[in-house]
Amino acid sequence: MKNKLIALVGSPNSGKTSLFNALTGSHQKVGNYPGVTVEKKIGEFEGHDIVDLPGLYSFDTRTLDERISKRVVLGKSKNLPAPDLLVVVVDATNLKRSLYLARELKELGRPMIIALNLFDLALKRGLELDLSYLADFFNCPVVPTSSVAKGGVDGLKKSISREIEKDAGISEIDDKSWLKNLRDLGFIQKAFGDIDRILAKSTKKNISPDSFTERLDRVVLHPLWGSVLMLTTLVLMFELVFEWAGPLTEMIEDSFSWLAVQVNGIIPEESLWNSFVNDGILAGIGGVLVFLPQIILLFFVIMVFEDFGYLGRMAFLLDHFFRRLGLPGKSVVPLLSSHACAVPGMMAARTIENENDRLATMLVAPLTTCSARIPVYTLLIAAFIPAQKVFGPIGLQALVMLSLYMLGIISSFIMAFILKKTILTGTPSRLLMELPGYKTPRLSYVLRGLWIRTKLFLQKVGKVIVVLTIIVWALISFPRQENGVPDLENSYAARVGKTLSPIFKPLGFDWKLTTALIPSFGAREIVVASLATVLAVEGEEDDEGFETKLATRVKTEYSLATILSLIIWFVFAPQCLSTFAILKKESDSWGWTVFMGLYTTGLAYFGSLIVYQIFS
Amino acid sequence: MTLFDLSKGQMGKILIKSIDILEENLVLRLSQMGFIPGEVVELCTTSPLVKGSILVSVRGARIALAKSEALHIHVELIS
Repeated sequence: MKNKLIALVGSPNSGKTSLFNALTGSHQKVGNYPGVTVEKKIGEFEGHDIVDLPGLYSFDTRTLDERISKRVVLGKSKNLPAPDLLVVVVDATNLKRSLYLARELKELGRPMIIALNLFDLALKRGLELDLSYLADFFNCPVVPTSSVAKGGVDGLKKSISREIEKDAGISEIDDKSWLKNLRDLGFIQKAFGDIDRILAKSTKKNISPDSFTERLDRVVLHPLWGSVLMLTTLVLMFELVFEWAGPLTEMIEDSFSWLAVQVNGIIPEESLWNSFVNDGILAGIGGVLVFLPQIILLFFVIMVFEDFGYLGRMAFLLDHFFRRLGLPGKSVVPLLSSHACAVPGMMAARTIENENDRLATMLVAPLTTCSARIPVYTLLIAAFIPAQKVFGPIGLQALVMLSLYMLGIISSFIMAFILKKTILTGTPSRLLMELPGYKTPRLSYVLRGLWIRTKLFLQKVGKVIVVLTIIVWALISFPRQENGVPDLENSYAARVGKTLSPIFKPLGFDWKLTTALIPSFGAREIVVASLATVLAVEGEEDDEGFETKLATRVKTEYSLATILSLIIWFVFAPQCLSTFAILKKESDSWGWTVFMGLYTTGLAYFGSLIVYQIFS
Repeated sequence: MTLFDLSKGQMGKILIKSIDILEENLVLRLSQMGFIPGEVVELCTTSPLVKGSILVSVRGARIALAKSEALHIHVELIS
């Protein structure tokens, strides 16, 4: 028997992916479609391949993800054959809308099954339906499904096994005229008319309205209280994420200092290898893992919001404000995610249809304060801002940290405004989007999304950080003196720093600071370690009191003006190499990638210059 | 009257009459979302501070759209 291909298609909120998980269990592999970073999810079902396609409302497609679904369905994807069977997943709680996709596919005349998903929910809300009319009209099996209820996919499984055995043979399809027809207003009106007619015939009892969503939206989308609620939610979100991430980050730091001690027991401390393992490899890996708690927690909250249905509502609430800046409300998701890590944040911009809006969003995303900048800010704040309380319990240091966050957000807004007014002109994408009913967030969905984003961070960012830490270590450690002791003053890194130092002098940076800045082009977070190295602070990075020692050292060495200038540098300076790599991939343009490097460097340089000149 | 002129809690049934937008893609997109003549619409809420965008319910879905589009969707009130 030939191994066949089943494709799962459906609208974004039809619960298609949970159905896919229920059908395939753990037999899944996740890859990418050629040339793009859209996830390709393939699972196994009774010896056949089953692919979960990106969600779409119509095959008259607009976004990158939607086009991929269209290409696969039409057998035009480079590395997938034409599917032998289509499973159209529709939302049973809103058939009037969701059957439209099935109606489009009916014209294509390919073997298909309609899965009325979330059927248990629809039943609970009183829907009574005679499926036979639907099956007659669409001329294909119509199966109620539920990915939550026990045995909720049994019917679909049986139906798939039956249909896949039928050797209908794939007839040549005239996809050009099919697609053209989808863009015919007459067809659209007729399609909805058909759906209304069939539903009128088959519905014995209408579904009751989603009163929960209606009632909740009255508060969440209230012109005044909705905004208050949103701001409170965002502040609480960041507050909780940092509160919870703290102990976890410490645990990771502790285990790495434990590891370093173990290494000292095996390799003599004075040897080059000890330094390589501890300051190169372990520092690199530790540098990556330290961010995981924050990133995971922040993405966890964002995923919960998304599944609950709040993210779309935030886009609605902010749309008008964003529009003034020239961005669509949908930019809120990429910009919010960028506070964890800009790499998945920039990828989240994919839902933005207008190319100029998507580019503008991606270009300004690195200005928001990603979690990698926190250690640098913390160090510099600890060095120069007195730990006194201002408004009651709020400390001055916390206030400065908050202002740096605001500076990141505001500058990304201003930059977006400038970009949209100058080079990326055009009206922002239409708001036009469906706000799905609220759902209880599903743990499996949230965890899966979390895993995908974390993996992305580890793969794209992690590798770069580890490699760069090792390179930086080498630059700092070589050439060695004749007796084998590293000689920082004459190291390769210092030579570069000294050469560049005239350029950075007006910003108040001496050659040591300049040297410490070099690795920051690779990954921001290495700076703390390299600062310690160039200032020759004794002790391991993970030692207790290390940060305090380093902070004191910075304080004695540099003036307030220099520190402020350095902070401003870090707000704007080009982010880690990974952001450039992902921009290159997502924009498919070297031009924009170089542009991002130039404009962030420019902002950082002149920002620092102004600050230093004012305060010195 | 346009979709944008609707006020919350308006009595009676509101039907879509016509869409006067020149951009073909946008008309198609609105139509695919269910904004076609004869459909019933209902205003759910408006955006905060300034009425810049609205949320309407059409064909059982809640759809957010901006003023720029809403101004071009003509509706009629059937009491």
